[in-house]
Amino acid sequence: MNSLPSPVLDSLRATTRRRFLQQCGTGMGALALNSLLNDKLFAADRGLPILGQPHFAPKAKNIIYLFQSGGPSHLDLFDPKPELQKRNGQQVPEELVKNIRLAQIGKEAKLLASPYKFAQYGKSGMWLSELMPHLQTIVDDVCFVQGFHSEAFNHDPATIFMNTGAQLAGRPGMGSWFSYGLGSENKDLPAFVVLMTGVGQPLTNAAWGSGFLPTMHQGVTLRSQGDPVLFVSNPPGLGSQRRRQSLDTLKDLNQLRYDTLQDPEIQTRIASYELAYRMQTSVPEVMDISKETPKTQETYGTTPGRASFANNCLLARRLVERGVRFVQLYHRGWDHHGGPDGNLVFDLKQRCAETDQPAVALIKDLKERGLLDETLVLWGGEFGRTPMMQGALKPDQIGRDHHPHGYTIWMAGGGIKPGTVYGRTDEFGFYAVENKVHVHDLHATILHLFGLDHLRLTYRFQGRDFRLTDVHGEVMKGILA
Amino acid sequence: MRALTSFASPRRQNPVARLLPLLAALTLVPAAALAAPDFAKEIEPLLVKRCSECHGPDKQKADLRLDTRAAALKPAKSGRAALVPGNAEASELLQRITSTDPDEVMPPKGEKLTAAEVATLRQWISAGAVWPEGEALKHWAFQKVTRPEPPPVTQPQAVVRNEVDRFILARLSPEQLTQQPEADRTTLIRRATLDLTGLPPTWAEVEAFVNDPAPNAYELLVDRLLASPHYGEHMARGWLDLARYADSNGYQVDLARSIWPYREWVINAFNRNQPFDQFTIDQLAGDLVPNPTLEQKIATGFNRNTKVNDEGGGDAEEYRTKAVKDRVATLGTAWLGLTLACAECHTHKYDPITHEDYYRLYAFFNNSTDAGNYSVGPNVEVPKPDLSQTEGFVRARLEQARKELANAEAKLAAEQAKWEKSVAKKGDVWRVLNLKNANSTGGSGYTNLADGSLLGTGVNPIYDTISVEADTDLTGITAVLLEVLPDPSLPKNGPGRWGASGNFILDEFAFAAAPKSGPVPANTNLFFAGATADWEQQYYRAEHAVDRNPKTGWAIGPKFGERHFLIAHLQEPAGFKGGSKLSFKFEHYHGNSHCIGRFRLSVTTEKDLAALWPVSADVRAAVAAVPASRTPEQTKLIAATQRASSATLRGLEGKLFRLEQKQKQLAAQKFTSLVMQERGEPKPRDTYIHLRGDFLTPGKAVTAGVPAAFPALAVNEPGNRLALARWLVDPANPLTARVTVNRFWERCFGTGLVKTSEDFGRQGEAPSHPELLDWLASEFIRTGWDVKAMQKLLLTSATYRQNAATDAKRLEKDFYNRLLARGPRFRMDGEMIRDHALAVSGLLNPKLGGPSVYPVQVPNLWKEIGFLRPEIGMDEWPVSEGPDLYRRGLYTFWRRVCTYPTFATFDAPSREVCVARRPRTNTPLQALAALNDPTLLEAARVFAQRILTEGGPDDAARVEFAFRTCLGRTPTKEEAKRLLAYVRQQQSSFSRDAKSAAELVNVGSADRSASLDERKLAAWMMLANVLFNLDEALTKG
Repeated sequence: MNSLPSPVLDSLRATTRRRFLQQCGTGMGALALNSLLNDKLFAADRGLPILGQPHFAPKAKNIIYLFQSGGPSHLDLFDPKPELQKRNGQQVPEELVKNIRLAQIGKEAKLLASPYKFAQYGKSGMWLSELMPHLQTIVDDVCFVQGFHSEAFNHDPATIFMNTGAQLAGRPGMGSWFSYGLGSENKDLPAFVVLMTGVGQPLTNAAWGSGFLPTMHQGVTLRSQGDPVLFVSNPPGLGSQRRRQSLDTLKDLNQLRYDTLQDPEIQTRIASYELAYRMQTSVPEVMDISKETPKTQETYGTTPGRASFANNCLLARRLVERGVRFVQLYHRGWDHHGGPDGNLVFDLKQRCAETDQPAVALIKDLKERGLLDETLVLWGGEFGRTPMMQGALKPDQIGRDHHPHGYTIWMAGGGIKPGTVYGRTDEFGFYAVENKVHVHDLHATILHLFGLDHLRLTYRFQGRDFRLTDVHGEVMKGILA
Repeated sequence: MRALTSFASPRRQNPVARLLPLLAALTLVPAAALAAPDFAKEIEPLLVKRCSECHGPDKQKADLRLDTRAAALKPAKSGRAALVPGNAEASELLQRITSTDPDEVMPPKGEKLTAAEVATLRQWISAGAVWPEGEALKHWAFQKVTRPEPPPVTQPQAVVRNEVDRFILARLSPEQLTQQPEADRTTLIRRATLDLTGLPPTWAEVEAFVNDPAPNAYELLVDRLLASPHYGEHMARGWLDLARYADSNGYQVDLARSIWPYREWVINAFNRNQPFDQFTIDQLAGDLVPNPTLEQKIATGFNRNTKVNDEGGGDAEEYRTKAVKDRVATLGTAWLGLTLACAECHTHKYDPITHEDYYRLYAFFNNSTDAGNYSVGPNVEVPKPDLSQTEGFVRARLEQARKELANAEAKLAAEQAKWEKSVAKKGDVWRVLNLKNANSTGGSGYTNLADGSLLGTGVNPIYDTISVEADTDLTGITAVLLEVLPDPSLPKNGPGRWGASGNFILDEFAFAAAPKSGPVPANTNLFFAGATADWEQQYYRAEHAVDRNPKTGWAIGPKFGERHFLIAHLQEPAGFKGGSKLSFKFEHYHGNSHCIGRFRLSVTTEKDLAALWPVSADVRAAVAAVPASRTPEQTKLIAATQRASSATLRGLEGKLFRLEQKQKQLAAQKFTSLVMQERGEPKPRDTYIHLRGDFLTPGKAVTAGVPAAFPALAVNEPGNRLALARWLVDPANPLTARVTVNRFWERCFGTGLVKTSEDFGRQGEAPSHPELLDWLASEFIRTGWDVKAMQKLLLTSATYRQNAATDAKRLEKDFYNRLLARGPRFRMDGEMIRDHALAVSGLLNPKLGGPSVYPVQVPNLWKEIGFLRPEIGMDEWPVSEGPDLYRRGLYTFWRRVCTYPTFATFDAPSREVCVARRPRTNTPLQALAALNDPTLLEAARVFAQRILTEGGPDDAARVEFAFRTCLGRTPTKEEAKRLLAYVRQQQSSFSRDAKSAAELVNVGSADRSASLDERKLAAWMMLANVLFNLDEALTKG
C-alpha cells in the first residue's frame, strides 16, 4: 500500500501511531490527551493544541460546577445579618451605594430582613437558613467562601465573567482551559460537558464556548431530550451494524486515497470516524441512569426520563467516574426580583427544594465512592442579591436585585479545606470585607488545585498571551487543605 | 534560515523540542560559543510578560523601568542597575530572578522564571545586552510596500506561469525541494471551482474541461468561474466572518435584527468586482460620501454588525462604548492586521499604538446615532426582495391543500351514516369530574362553576403550577379530556390569562392516581401515550403538553376567546377497585401569565381512540332523530361535529390556515437594513481616553486621528470615517494591501504567507515569502485593487496547479506545506460541506440573495438556552419550507448565541467579534455531524434517487455515476470494486429488512417518486452517505 517506502515516512507513521495510542489508549500519564482528538499533529494551526500535563502535582482530577443561574440570595441562604433585621424597611445608608451602579432598583431602596430562620451547623458553626436542610448535614465537608465578589451586575456579562474571566463573550470557558491544559482521561467522552435544567435567564454558549482555543475544547452540551450529543444517534433504520459496515467502507476508501496522496490528515480523519463510532456507544451508556439502584435514585431524588437537576447531579457522578474532566450543571430560575415573576418566598423555596437534596446527595455519594478527594464540587451563581428590597411588594412576594459586591459560594472536595467558613461581608451583607475572593482569585485557586499555574496556562491569540485570570488572580491559600 | 525552520517541521510543535536551544544553553558550553539570543524574539517577550506590569511604561516600581535600554542601565531606587552589559553577575536583574530569598526574588507573583529563561537572559547580558532601539518602527510590516524583482529561476525543469512561481521556486531551491507536476484536469477543475464558487463542478463541466483542446483551457475555466454569480457568494462568506455579520443582537436574549441587505451588498460587490478601495470606503463611510446611494448606505451595515444589549437594567452607555471599541478592533483585524484592542487599556506592548492612538481611532466611530441598548435604528427601508420562489411555493401548497380539503369533504358526506351510527351506539363516553382542592403555586384562587369547570380568580400569576383533585369509582380509565373554556372575566374572554390575547401555554399536564383506601403504591404517576386537540398553535402542539419536556407546550393562538379541548390518552389503563383519588397538575413555565383561566376535566374508559371525540348531548339528540325529522339546525350541528371530529379535516384546515397566514405575511412584509448615521450635532461627541479601558474613568480628551507611526491623514479632510477609509486605501498605507492579498492567499493555499493573518504586528509571524507578499501587494495596488485579477493571478500560477500528493521528503522539510512544494489540500468549511452535498444530490436551490432562511435544525435548540417567552421572540427556530430548505449555507439565519450546529462543529465562529481565519480541526463531533445531520441525510437520499434514475443500467454503472458526480473523477478499479461490494451488501441486507429501509428513506421533505423501491433506495442512500463522508469529499484538493 505504500508507494514510497522510506525510513523517514515509517518513522513518521510510527510517531502517528504512538500519538494515537497516547490519545486513544489508556489515557493515563503525562500525555493523557483530549478525547476530542485532533491534537493538530496534522493540521496547520496556531499554537499547541493541548498542553497535556500539569505544572506541578495536582490535588484534584475532576470538577463538578453546580452553576446556579440567576443569582441566589446569599442573605436568605448563607449570610444572616442582624443589622438587616434591625433596620428592615429603612433606607439603605447612602455611603453603601454611593459609588456603584445598580441594575434595576434606585439608590433610595429600603433594606430587607430575611424572612427565614437561621441556625449554626457543624464544627465551623456555619449559619444556614432553614431552606437548605440537606446542606446542614454536610457542613463539615464544605468550605463556604463568604467574601466572594464579582464585578458585573447584569446576568449575561456576569455569567460570562464567572465562566471565562471576562465580561465580554469571546474568551474560552473555564472547562475549555482545563481541556486545553490537561486533556481528558477518557478516550470516548469529551473532556468538558455541560448539562442544563430549569427555566429562567437565557444561557448562551459564550459561557462554555472555546473562545479562541481550538473548538475541540468547547463544552459539549449533553441534552436531556433528543440526542444527548447532537447527531450521536444514527437515523431510524440505520443500526449499529450497518454503521459499522459503512465506516469499514469509508476507511478502506480513505486508505486508498492515502496511498495515493500520503496526506497524514487522511489518517487523522480515519481515526476521528473511529472515535465517533465509539462515542455512539459510550454516550448513551453514560446517560442512562435507570440502571442505578433504587436507593441511589431515592437519595438523589431522580426521575429517569424527566429532566431535573437531580438527574444531572447523578449524571455528573457517572461522568466523573468515567474520567470526564469538567462537568458543569446549570440550573436556572434564581433571579428573584420579587413579585409573581420570581420572589424570595415561593420561587426561592422551590429552587432550594430542587437543588439542596441532589447536590448534597452528590457529595455524599462521591465521598462514599472515594471520589471526593479528587473531585472538586463548586456551587454558586453569577452574583448574590442586594440587602435592599426590590419594589414595594406584598410580604409573600418580596425580592432583591442583582448584587456582585459580596456574596457566598461554596466548595467541597478536590483539595479544598473542609469545614471552613472563609471571609465575610459587612454588617449589611453588602460588600465583601475580609478574606475577599474575587472571580479571578477563584479561577487561580481552582487551576492551582489541578496543578496548573494560572500565570503559565496561556494561549497566544491576536498577539497576546491570554489567561483564564486575565491579568489578575491570586491563589487563595487559606482555603486549600 | 531561522525564519524557515520556524514552520518547516512539526517537531517544532513539541514543547520539549522548542526548549532544546534553551536547554543547550544550560550545558557547559562557554556562553560566548553560543549565538546571542535574538532580542525581539526571545528577550523582549520575556521582559514584557514577566516584568513590564510593574516596571514598564505605565508603572515603575522601585523607580525601575525595563522597556528601554537607557532606562534599564540607570540605577534604580536601590542604587544598583538592572543591566550591566557584558556582566551578567553584576546585573541586578539576574540577581533578583535567581534569588532564593522570598523577599528578594522577582517576579514576586507567580512561578519563578525557568532555568532556561534565566540562562537566555544571562547569555544575552553576557553578550552585551544588545537592545535595538525603535524596533517597533522598523518592523517589516510598517515599511512602505516595495515591488521586488521576481527572482530568476534556477530549476530548469520547473514550470513558471507567472511571477508567483518565481518567488515560490526561489524559496524551494535552498531546501532541495522541487515543484510537483501539474495535477490532472479533473483535480484542477474541482479545486478551482471549489475555491472560486464554493461548489463542486458538475460532471458535464468536468468532461468539457478535460476535453477542451484550447491551449488556455484552464485560464478560460478560471474566467468562467470568476463570472459565476456563486463567486460573489463564496467570497462574501469569508468577508462576513470579518464583518461579524449575524442576524441577531448577540447579548443574552439575542433578538433578531434585519441586516441581510448588507450581506447581499457584499455578494454583489464581489460579483461586480468592485475595486477593493471602493469596497472599503463604502463599508466604512458610504453614508459620508457626497450624495450616497441606497447601496452605499446599506454597505455601512458593516459597522452595525456590532452587538446590542437586550437585557433589562444594562447600562446603555456601557454597551454603546463596547460597540465602538468593537469597531476599532475590527478595523485593526480586517484592514490593518493589527491588534488594536491591545491598546484599549494601555499602550500596546509591542506595536507602535499608544493608549491615546487607540482613542483617537475610537473617536472616528464615536459620533454615530446608534445606541447600546435595544437599538433597532438607524436603518433604511429597502425594496422588496425577490420572494417569488417562496410565494410560488406557498401558492402551490395552498391550491394543493384546497383540493385535498374538497376531496376529504366529499368523503365525509359518504361516511356520515357510519359516523352517526357510532355516535348513537357509544353515547357520551366522557364522565365530567367533580374537581376539588385546587391549589395554585402562584397564589391564584379557583372557583367551582356549575358546569363542573374551575375559574381562576384573584392573583394572575406569571408562572403557575395548578394542582387539582377528584374522586372516581371508574376503573380502566384510558384517557383524559381537558376542556379550556372562555369566560368574560378572563382577558380577551380567555380561555388563558395572558392579558394581550387570552392565550395560555400548557407546558406539562401530569396525572396521578392512588387508591381511595389501602396502601398507596410508591409511584402513582401515570404516563400519557399521546395527545390530540381540536386546535394547535403553530409549534405548540397537543403532544407537547404530555412529552415530559417542560420547555414545550400546547397553546391555541390565534383562536382565542373560544372553547378548545385536548384529549390525552394513557399508556396503561388507570383506576383502582374500590375507588381512586385522581390528581392533576398543569404546569406553566412560559411566564407572562400564560396560564389556563378556566377548565373542566373528564375521564373515559372507552378503548376505541376514534370514539373519544366529545359529542354534546344536543348532537346526540340530533343523531337519535330520524334524518327526515331533524331541524335544519340539527342537520347543521351534526355536519359540523362530524367535520370537527375528523383528524384528516382538522389537519387540512390547520395547514390551510397556516399557509394563508404565511401568504398574508409575505405580502405585508417591510424590509430594512441597519446603517451607520452621524449625529446631526454641529460638534462631534466628545471622546476621552478610558483609563484602564474603563468607560467610567475618563482621561484626557482626544480628537479623531491615526497613530503617529503611520502616514498621516490627508490634509484638508475632515476627521471623519470617510477620511479614515481613504487613509486605509491610500497606496502609502503599508498594511491594507498586504493584509488583503495575504487573506486571498490564505483562502486558496490554506495558510497565509503571514500565517497570523489577523496580526501583522511584531507578535505576529513573519511572512514565509516576504518578497512575494510585497510583490502581490504592489500588484494589487497597481491593478487598481482589482480583486478578480488577484484571484486569477493566484489560481493560474503553476504553484496552485500542482499535484497535492506529498511524500516523506516534503513532510520532513515542510510538514504544513508553507513552502508549496505541492498543491494545496485542506478540509472545507461547514457551509461548503453542506453546499457540496446539496449540489451533488441536485437539491441545492441556487437562488441568490434575500432574507435569511431556516434550514432543518434539531428541534428545541433555541428553547434549551432561551427565555421561554414566545412574546419576546427567538423561542422557536421557524423552520423554512420547500425551496428555502435547500439554499446555500451562507443564507442560514445566523444566531450568535446558538450558531447553526453543523457549521459550529466545523469551526464556524459565533460572529460575536471579527475573525480573520477559522481554525481547521478534525474531530469526532465533525464525523457525527457529517454522518447524521438530517440535511446531509436527506441529500444522500435524494442523491440516491438521482443515482437510480440517471445512473445507468446496472450497479457498476451506477457506482461510477455516483462517484464521479460526487468527486468529479472516475473511480479507480479498486475504489469501484469496494463500493460495488458495499452497495451489494446493503441491497442484500435491506432486501430482508423492508422496515428499516422505509424508516431510513423517510428523511426530509424533498419529493420522492413512489415508483422507487424503498429497499433499493435505502442501499444507495447508504452509498451516498459514504461518498459524502469520504475525506476527498470533505476536502478541497
